Amino acid sequence: MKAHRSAVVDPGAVIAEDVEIGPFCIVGAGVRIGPGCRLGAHVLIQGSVVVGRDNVFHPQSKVGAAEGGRIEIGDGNVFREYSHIDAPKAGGETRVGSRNRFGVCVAIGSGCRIGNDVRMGGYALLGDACVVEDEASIEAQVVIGNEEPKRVGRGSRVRSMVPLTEDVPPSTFMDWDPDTGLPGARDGAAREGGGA
Amino acid sequence: MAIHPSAVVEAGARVHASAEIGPFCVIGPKVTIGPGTKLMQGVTVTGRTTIGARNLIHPLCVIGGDPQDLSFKGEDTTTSIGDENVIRESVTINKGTIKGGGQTVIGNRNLIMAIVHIAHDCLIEDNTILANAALLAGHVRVESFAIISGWVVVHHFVTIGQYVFIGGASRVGKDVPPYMLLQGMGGEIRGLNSVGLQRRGFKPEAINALREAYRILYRSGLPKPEALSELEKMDGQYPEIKTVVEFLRAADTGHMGRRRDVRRKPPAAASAPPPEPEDDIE
Repeated sequence: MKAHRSAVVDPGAVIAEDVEIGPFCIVGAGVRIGPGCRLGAHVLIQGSVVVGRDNVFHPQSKVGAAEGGRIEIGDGNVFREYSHIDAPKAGGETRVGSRNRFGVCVAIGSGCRIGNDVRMGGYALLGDACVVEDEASIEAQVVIGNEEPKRVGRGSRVRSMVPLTEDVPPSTFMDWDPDTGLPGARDGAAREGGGA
Repeated sequence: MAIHPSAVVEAGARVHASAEIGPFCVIGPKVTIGPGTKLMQGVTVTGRTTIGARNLIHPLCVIGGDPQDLSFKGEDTTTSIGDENVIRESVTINKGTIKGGGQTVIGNRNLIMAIVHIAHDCLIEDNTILANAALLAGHVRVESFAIISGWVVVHHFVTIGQYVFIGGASRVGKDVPPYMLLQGMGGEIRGLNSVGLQRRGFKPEAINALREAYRILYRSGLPKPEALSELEKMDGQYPEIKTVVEFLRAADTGHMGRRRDVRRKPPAAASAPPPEPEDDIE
């Protein structure tokens, strides 16, 4: 472990030898971090958290809390600045797969299940216990499941700022319908252009 | 030079004697900070970043971080910030990518409010205002005196013209012509930014001419080529009209009404492997 002298790493944390921990990070007891991971400045990882290999946590990102359930993170994920994963309730579990990319300020509620190769744009928000299947793409400022849990199906895409009110079936392209003012499915081939 | 004892300033960083670095800041080895610039607590400045004079950077900003782009492979690209900008809490500004020219540039006297995200290769000119949580995707250009309200999402490659006003929580997917007002999820041009123009000292006759230009472009029902021809008859009298016409013609040179979209890599040949997925995740 290569930890900056100003980082606070609990002796109870289990951290692979080549992990880099930046200035002012806090890593709590009960955290396990696999090889090849990098933590930028001011990153906070606390609680019962298992982090796989080659994950990158950019400055100010945060995982877990001192108390709560278990968080499991796979391999090769990127967490951008201020993104955070809330701690599950006691006895609960949050799972994040591999090769996912989370933009700035992304919030992942407690008890969520996120598959592999998922992309979430800046400020996207997942409420508690939501499910996002493999290869889904959730763009900027989408709010999902802030009232009740929602599922985003495999390979789906949700355009930026669309207020989701229902589950998204697999391979669906959800956009805002200007006629109804509500979200609706669109032709998935029309991948470009968001304006008039 | 006032550097708080808890700040981490790595060897190689160039901090002017009159700059101030607050508690728990982290300054990377390739960073240059100019005279009179003040960083409040917990600011991270990384990468090959140059910050000019008399800027005020509020707590927890992260400046010069890696681009959120699949093409980025660790290249030593840059971030440049001019003079007298105010950057509020938790703003993120990413450095450039090779395909986008390799630099993200912020001009002078801009007000960038809390939680704004400015992605790789963006160009922000002078005297702009970006309100809270505005999000600019990669390669976006914001021309001088434009105002972008809170919770606006700007699609990558978009150019926002000078003196434009973007209303709150709008989604912008095409270039926005100078002097106009845009509002809504569909990114519609709703009118002329007449209040903004008055405040900036435009003459009433120029504002009236621009109002007529807006009517011809968006309310007359004329096809765009004919509308532009009509405007060209007016542009000898008013340079502002010429600016609008040139802007719209330039927008047509790009893809989907975005002139900077020519920066996108050319489509792969039929025999080549399938293209990578769209790479910006802003």
